Amino acid sequence: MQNFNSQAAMDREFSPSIVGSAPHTPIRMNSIEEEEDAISPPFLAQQDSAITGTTVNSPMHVTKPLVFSTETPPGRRPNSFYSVQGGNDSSSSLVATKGFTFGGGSDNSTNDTQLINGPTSDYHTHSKKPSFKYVPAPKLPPMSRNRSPVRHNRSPSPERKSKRNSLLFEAPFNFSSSALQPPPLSGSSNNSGPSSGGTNGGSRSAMFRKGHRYKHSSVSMNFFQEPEVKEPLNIIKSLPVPDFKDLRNNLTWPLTHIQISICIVELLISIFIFNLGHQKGWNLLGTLCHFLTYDVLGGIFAILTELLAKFEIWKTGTITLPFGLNRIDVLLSFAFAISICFAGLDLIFHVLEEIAVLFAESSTADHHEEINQTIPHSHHTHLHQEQLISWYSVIILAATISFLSYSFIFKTTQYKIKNPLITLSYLFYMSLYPILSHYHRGWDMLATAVISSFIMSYGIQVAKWTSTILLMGFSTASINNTLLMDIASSDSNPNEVSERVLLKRSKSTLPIAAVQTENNQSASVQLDPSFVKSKIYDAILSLPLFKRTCSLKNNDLLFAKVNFQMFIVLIKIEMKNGSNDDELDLRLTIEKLVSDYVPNAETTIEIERM
Amino acid sequence: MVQTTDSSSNANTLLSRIPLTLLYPTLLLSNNLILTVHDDILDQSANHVPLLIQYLVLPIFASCLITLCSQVLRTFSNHALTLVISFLIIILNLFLGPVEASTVSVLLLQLVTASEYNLRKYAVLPLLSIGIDYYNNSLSFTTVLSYILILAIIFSSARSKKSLYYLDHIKVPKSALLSVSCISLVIMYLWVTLSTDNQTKITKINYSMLFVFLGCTLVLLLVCQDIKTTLDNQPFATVWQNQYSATIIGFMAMVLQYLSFNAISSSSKSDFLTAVFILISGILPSSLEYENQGYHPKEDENPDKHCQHQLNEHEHEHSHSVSTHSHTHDSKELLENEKEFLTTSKLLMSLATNKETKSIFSFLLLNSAFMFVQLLYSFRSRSLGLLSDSLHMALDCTSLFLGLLAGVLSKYPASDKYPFALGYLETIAGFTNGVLLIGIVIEIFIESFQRIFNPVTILGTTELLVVSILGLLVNVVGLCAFDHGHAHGEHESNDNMRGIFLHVLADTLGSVGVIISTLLTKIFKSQIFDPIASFFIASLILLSSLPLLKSTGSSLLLKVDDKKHALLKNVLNQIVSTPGVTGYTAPRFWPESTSGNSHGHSHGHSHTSSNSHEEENNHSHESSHSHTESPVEAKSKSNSSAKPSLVGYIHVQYIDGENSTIIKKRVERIFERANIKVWIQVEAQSSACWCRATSMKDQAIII
Repeated sequence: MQNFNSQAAMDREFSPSIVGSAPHTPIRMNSIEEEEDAISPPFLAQQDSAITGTTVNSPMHVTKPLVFSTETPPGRRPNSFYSVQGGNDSSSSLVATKGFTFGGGSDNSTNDTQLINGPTSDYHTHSKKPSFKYVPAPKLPPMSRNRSPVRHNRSPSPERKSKRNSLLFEAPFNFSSSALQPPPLSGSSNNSGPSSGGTNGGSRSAMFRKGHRYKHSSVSMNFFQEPEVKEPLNIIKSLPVPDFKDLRNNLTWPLTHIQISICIVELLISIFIFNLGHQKGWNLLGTLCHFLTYDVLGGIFAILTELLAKFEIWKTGTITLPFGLNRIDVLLSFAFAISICFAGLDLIFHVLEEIAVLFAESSTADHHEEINQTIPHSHHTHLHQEQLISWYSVIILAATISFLSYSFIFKTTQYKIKNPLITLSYLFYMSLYPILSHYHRGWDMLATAVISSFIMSYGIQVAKWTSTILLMGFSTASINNTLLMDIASSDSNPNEVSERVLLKRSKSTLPIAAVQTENNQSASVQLDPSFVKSKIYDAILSLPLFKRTCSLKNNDLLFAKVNFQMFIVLIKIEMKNGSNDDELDLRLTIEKLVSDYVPNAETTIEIERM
Repeated sequence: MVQTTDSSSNANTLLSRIPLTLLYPTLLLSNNLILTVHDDILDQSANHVPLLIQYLVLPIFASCLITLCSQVLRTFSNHALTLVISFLIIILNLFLGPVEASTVSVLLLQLVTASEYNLRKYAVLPLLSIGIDYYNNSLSFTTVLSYILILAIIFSSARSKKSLYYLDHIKVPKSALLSVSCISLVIMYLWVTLSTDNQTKITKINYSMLFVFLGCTLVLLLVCQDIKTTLDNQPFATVWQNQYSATIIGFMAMVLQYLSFNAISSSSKSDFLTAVFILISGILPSSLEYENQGYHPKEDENPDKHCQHQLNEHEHEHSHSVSTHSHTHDSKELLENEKEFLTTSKLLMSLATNKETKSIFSFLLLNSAFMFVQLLYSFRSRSLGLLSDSLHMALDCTSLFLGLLAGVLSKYPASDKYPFALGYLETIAGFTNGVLLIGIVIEIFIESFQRIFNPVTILGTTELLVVSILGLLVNVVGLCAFDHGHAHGEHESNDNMRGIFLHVLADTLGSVGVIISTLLTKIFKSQIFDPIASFFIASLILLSSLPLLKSTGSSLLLKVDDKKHALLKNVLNQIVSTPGVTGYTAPRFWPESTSGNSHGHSHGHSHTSSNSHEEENNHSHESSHSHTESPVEAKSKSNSSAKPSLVGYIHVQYIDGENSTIIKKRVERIFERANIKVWIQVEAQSSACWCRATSMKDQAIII
């Protein structure tokens, strides 16, 4: 008896502890719970209503602590005791504790609901008065528990709960097992649930528990078998997209803060440089300021993607976002590549304008000054000897901050555009400018044109590459090409093979842009997608398992890259006279083969048996 | 300007011809300005250029260049004829000056293609031009010579149509044209440099004008190609077989002349005579008769029917390609479009022939024509504001072109590199346009902030006003074209068109803003209005482009919308409740892009209907499993023609010992009913697969 009392006390402690822990748990927990409720309404709803009755010893509320703690008003508790005191052996609340009334459960249930509803409203009208009366009541439940034989095995263990809580603390958004577990049989019970147990929520769950308890009874055997049949669904129907608050709460302490402060400092510096350039009439600084601002924007996006990557939705496919939020990374890279192209084009236009001015000057020498003033962004910056110090100090300042942002933000993140490199190259040009401008204006224009064409080609390359992914094309940038090369060289006729190998050495800029994961050492070599595909196609066709009975059309082999990491491979095979085992063998072999060529691929092999 | 044509009274044809009225005079004017006397020489009227250079080398150069361009672009197939015609026109141009030459050349073309004409009435024109020359103090042999030349052409073409027939079939190799034009350019250059030896520079080659000339030629040829596609089976000659076309061209030439020289001619009397000349050119052709209808059998007799010929050739190629390609690719619904996408060389052709993008392509041409006009004017007036504006115009043209290109490319069939075809390309183009708009907005914001704190006095407000009003007109035409094009396509689904529309709208707003702020500045003499107006316009653009970015972005993230989400959920529930299935893993489904479908409306219908079928079948499914077979068959047949709403793959697990084929068939049927294109991997519950491996990080594992 003592033992039970202490246990009851522990049980009593549970709900407050959970309530206390609620602020620590991730913010999105509740919304997930709601989502899940929406998916599988009958079961959980019944649980909730059952909990209102037998909060203390119901094993179910272990799995749903948050719902319990948030949704059950404290006033409900006396309610159940009221029914206990009344000596009513209702099915919803007391069958579970007293037992052996399931035969007439359905009849009683209607009465129960009335009984429960009555006192509840009664209680509410009487405000707090009854709460005093029922304070000592917690002693009562153990009496009912005495009779439950299985009780010890199923005692709601505090360890389990604490484990779960700690899990939540460690990885706030790694929704694992219990929180997201849809009820078994959600699909079918959805249909049958409302009709059978819709009127009284309590009775069904009570019967379920009954089934658990009296597993030796012939009647309850049915209930026991039911949930085993179906495997739980391995898909989350939707995950919440984190909002700003979530992001703010999940900053990694030193790193993100450093990154953000670098961004802010860089922004301030760019504003300062802009003002300085305006004051002194150094128009080159205006362009530099543009690039710095691009750095800041890129940095903000990089930080954002890094933060987002911590959330479950980043990686996990849901129905709403089949490949997770991961593609945001690709999309942002693409947008940035486009804007970089825009910047490059802008520069080229300025050069063109200057050339036009040169033409105009050559014809009318006297209008020179007048025209020069009216150019909005002329790069014709006059530098005097004494101004060189401030010129170089500005360059050093900008170089420092952009190098910092490169090493802290862009190097560590997965972000595919390395903006600061552009800024640094422009700064390099600026440092040469005083020397260049001594000679001829043509040099200056030439250098600007070269830089802007470099920027544009870089931007176009990244845009091409990312847009291939956005179009769900077969981007071969991170394909394991060493294997392909081996196969190619080991082939019988090397000459013929070298003709077929359509290797494209990419430009020197691509290594910056390419994904540098561990498993592809030479990302700079790009392969022709058709070549890779034909290689894999040939490899599949030459499988001994395949040769006998199967056929595969070239069109039925699809490769696509859906984000920076993941490929999908879709294959449709026709098989004649195969057994289930043959099918399995073939599937596993092909899967192995494909994963050798294409890392991190999701392979789907549809086998049509004739 | 608007009444260029009444032949087809179609907005499309009208739109495609507007650039012609701009380009033709610009072409002639720029050609005349390639070789000019240096500004420093006071005696402008004196002839410093030797006749041989001016009237032989330069026309040869120009006509070779034009023919070369037309060969590269494949506008006209009969090279020799193009060469001769362009040579004659340019000679006329050099003899008479751009205003008269443009009018006379159009009249000449009318006469040559006419079946019946009264030449005596035209005697007024030579008299008028001699009068103009007389008051211009530039009376010379050239005028007389040019009219003699015209007469010779008319008679020779009337007499011996055979000779023209031969001309029609002579092919001139590209290399010859290139070398001839290069040689003539070198001769001109040498002459110009050698002639400086005497004293100061007398003449010069205007490279900027050369550039404008080249650009105009290219755009003009593109416009011709565009017009040919609108004409369908009519001969190309209908373009100028309009009573007023000469007048309109002449008027435009006069305006351009005025803009670039600030005068039409040197005296007011000759100005008046020029105006009369142009007016008369509108009256004279009223008696002309053309026999357009019965032309097909003897089309070769007419020098300018070559386009018709060319068009037939194209059709031949197309039909041929259809027959070859329909075998290799078995995509049934794209058959109609497919013929256009065989080679990249026909890309332009498909751009122009595509019904949806047709009007926008015309607008693109108009825009680029206007750009060249602006460029010419800015070079003439040395105004940098205009120069930067025309460069902005170039950016617009680029983005328009990219959008159009995306629209055409997106209908390409799937390839190894793009297994899901290029349907999302249009969305990407829309997104790109949105990003570019944001970039422009940011530029404007920075600029206007700068202007608020450091006001810049704007010089040359009148000129700015003229140009921005012209730009506004062009953009309004563009908006009309857009509306017209939109009447065919649907508004909401096509992000690409939305992006282009927003771009044009932004330009229009920009011109309006410039006009208003310039007027206010003129009235109140305060410089604050310019930044305020630009700020206001920038925020308007920003507000309109954000929704575009949002919608394109979410569809590029492959987001499944609520309707399809519900459909998919329903399907998944059905799969779970299918007997023998224990569960499924890795259901990844994404929406199929709509742009590949040319009929958006039918698509929408099929979608909703498939949804309702879904519901229906669901109910019947619950009641009895075996009964649903026959209606399902019928429905799946009706749905199979429609485009799938979703594409994706799924792994389905079944109880060990079940027949996988039957399970697969059942699941397949569920997807078929929902009109979802799917790859299904059916696997035994106990078998291994990556999708159920516990170590998979990317997968939410639920135990």
